[in-house]
Amino acid sequence: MSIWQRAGAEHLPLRHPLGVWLIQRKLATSAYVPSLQARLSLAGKMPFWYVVDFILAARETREYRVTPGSDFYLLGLLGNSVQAAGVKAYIYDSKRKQRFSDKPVNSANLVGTASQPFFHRAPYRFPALSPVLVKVQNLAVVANAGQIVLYGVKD
Amino acid sequence: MNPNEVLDRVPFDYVVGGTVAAPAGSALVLAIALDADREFEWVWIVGSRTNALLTVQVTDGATGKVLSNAPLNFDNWAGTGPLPFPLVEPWVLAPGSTLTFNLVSTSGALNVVQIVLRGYKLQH
Repeated sequence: MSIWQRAGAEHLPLRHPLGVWLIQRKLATSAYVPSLQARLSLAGKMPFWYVVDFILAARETREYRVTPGSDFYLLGLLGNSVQAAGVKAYIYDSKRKQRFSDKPVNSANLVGTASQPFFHRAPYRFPALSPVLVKVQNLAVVANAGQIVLYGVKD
Repeated sequence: MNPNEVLDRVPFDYVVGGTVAAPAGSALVLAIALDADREFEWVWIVGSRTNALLTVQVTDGATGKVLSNAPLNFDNWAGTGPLPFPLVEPWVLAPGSTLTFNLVSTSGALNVVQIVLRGYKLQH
């Protein structure tokens, strides 16, 4: 199968996959990115990055908050930390009172980088003015700094 | 733009680069002015830097909107040639648009940066 061919979804218009071809996933890419239908609903929206900058003392835990000014559709999580031990984090949608995990997730298991991003299969909508809480715990025994980045699109 | 419309896509890279000065906190502002002939379908972000201690914040000149709430670490924003960052849903920019990149180095060393917006010029 060529990557330029559309598979299934006969009722949908023909489009080549454009930006959702992941080199590291090759022909399995479609299992790691939002579906064609999900992507069509994002057309015309502006890419946006919500950045949580954290600076934490050894083993410190802090809660950070970002508030989208308009509806924000989360597509993926990116991040880094200065210390290799990394951080644990969880994300909470305060409007729906919904946590994204039952326990904090190690950053190595939660976020990607721009080179090897982690995308959600289905975009998740944060309504305008609903705070997104990100709780971050430093796993290093020394001070740590870095970012958790919520990548998505908004109107 | 109607996403169902049949388009001719011409691969195209908009490239900008420079050197951020050595002292930590040094800033460099780079801009890309899109050609006036065609819309540009921005699909991938690619970039290189000589030191990872660098942040970037992008502003769309047409609307004045900033594309992030705070500066991003460069490696959380740009991929590389072999592993580019895909926008998931491409963003179509109007002919003649300008994008501005505010770069700040925190490394304390010279930082040589190149940013590539990779995508397609659209022929209707």
